[in-house]
Amino acid sequence: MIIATITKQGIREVWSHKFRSFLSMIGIILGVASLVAMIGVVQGMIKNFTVFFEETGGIEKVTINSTEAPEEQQHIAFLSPGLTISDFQAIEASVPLAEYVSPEVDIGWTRMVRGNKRTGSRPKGVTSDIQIIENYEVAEGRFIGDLDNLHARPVIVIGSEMVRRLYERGEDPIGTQVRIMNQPFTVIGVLKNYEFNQNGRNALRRKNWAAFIPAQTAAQRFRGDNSVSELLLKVSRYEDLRDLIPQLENVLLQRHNGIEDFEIETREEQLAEFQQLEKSFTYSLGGVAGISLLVGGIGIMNVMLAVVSERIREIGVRKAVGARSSDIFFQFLVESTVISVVGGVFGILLSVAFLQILSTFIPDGDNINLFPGNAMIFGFIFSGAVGLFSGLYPAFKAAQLDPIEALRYE
Amino acid sequence: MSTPTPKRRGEVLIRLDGIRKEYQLGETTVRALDGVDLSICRGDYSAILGPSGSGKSTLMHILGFMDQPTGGKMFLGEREVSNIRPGDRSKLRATEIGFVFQSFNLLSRLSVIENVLLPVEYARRKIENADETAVEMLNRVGLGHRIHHRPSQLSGGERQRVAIARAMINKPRILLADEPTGNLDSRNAANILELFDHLADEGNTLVLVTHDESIAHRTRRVIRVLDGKVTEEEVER
Repeated sequence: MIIATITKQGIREVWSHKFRSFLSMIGIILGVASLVAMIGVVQGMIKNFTVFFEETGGIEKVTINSTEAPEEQQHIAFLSPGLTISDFQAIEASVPLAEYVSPEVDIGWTRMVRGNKRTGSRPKGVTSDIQIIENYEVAEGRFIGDLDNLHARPVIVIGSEMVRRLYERGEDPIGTQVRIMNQPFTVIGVLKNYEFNQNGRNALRRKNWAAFIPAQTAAQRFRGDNSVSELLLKVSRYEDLRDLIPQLENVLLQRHNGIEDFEIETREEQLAEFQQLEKSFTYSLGGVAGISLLVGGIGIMNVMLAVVSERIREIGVRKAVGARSSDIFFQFLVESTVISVVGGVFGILLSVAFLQILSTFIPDGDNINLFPGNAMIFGFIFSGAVGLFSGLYPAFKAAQLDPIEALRYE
Repeated sequence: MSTPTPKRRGEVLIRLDGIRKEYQLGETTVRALDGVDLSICRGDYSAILGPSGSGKSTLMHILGFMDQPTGGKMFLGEREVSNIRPGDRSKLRATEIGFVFQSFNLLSRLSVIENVLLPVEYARRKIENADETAVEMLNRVGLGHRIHHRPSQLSGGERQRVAIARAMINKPRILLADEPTGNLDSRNAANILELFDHLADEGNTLVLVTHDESIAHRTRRVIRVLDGKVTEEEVER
C-alpha cells in the first residue's frame, strides 16, 4: 500500500511541475530517440548487406580465378593448361563437398541484337548450377539444362533489363531469337527482375543485365578452346568450407602439374570486414547515444538535487509524521524514474519521427528499420535504469536528512 | 532539579530517567538537557513552559522520538527506547505520537484529507475505512466541509485544525504541540486552545510546549524548563 501511495505521489509531483519535469527529461528524450534511431539505421545497413550478400551467393560461395603463376614457377608456367572446363568436370567428379559447381566462360562485352533493337551485354557460359550458386530465379520459361550443355545448344536465358531493351512492353521473349556476334540464340528463359535500393541505386542491377548461355556453347562458338574465366562453387553447409579448400587445391594442383596459377576465394573475408564495420558503427553510435543518455541522467540528477533542496521542509514533515528514511528514499527515486521513463517514452515516439525523416532524406533510407522494436524496448529499459541511477544520490541525500534540521529549514 | 511524579495519575506512557542531551557546536559542548526525570501519564494535559533556549523544544523532540538522548534512560510503557534504531523511531512517531507544529507544516500540494491521511500511510497499519476516519477527524475539528481544499485555501486557524486532525488520525498515545498558537491571531488561538481543552477532556494525553504562561495555565500540569533542567509544577483545575 505504501509503495502504491509513494508511486502515485511521485507521478503527481512530476505532473504538478510539468514544465520543469519536461526540461529535465529533454536529455533522456534526445538520448533515447538518437539511440533507437541509430539502431534503426544500423539495422538498415545490416539488412542492405545481408540481402546483397545472400543474393550474390552467400557465405557458402567459393570462386576459383586464374592468376599468374608465382615467380618461382614462372619458368615452368607453360606446363599448366590453365583453368578449363576439364577442371570443372574433375571437381564435379572428385570433390563431393562442392555440391554445386559451374564454370563461367566470359565472352566479354558484346552487342546483342534483336531485329532493329540492340543492347550491350556480357553473355556468360554456365551450367545449370549457377542458378543455385548465385540465386537466380526464372520468371518465365526455363533455365539452361544439362542437355543444353551436352549438345552445346544455341540457347539463352536473359535478365529483365535485356528484355526491357530488346522487346516491346507485353511482348513474350520465350522462343524468340537474339543474335550475339551474329550467331542466333533462342531465348528459353527470362530471369526475375531484381531490385534492391542501396545508396539510391539498385544494388542488384547486375543480375538484371545477366545473359546466360551453355558453357560448352560459349567455349565452342566464341572462345574456341576449353578455357574458363572462373569456376564457381557452393557448399551446402558453411562448415564444409574448411575441408573443401584443400581438396580443391589438391585436384587443381594435380591437373595443373603443380603450377599454382589459380586462386581460391571464399567470402569469409568480405563478411568479416562487414562484421567489423558493423561493430565499429554499433560501438561508435552506441557511444554517442550513451553519452547523451549520461548527460540526460546528469540533468535529472541536477534537477532532483534542486528538488530535494526545495522540499527539505516537506521531508521534515513527512519524517515527523512517521516516514522512514527508506520511504523518503523511495519517493525521490520514483520521481527521478518517472521523469526518465516518461522521457524514454517520448524519446521512442521521437525516434519514429527521426527514422521517418532519415528514411526520406538519406540515400539508402529505404531499408532503414522504421520500427526497431528491440531497440525501443532497450531504450525504454535503459531510460528507466538511467532514472534509477541518477536518482540514487538525490534520494539518498533526502533520506539522510535529520527531521529536526529539516523542519527548521526556511 | 526535578520533582517526583504525582501518585494520583494514570498509567505511565513515557518515562524519562536522568535524560541528557548534548550538542557539539564547533569546539563547545552545549548541554540542552541536563538529567531530566519526567513521566507523562495517560490522560495528562501538560504544558512544557520555558523561555527561548531553555531546552523545552529539545525535550519535546526527545519525547516525540524525533531526537535521541545522549545519556539517561527513556521508557515507552515498560519498553526501554533510549537507543532504538532510526526505523523504529519513525514507526513510533507514526503510531504513538501526534505532532502539531507552530507553522502547521501541511504539505501544500496535498489536499486537506490527503494531509490528514499522511500518517496512516506511514504507520503501515491497516485502518478500516481510513478515508471515513479522516473525514470524521476533520468533522471533529469543524472542517468536514473542506476536505478537498488545499492548505493555501484555508485560514491559519483552519490549517492548524487540519494539523490537529492529522496528529490524531492514528489515535496516538500522546499529542505533542509545539507553540501551537504562535502563528495565530488571538481569536483563532482561543479556538485552537478550546479544541485542545476539549481533546483533553475526552481523555487524550496532550503536551503543549509554550513560552506563554497564560496558555500553560490552561493545562492541568505545568512542567517548567530552565537551562536544560525540569521543574514540575502541578496545577489543579
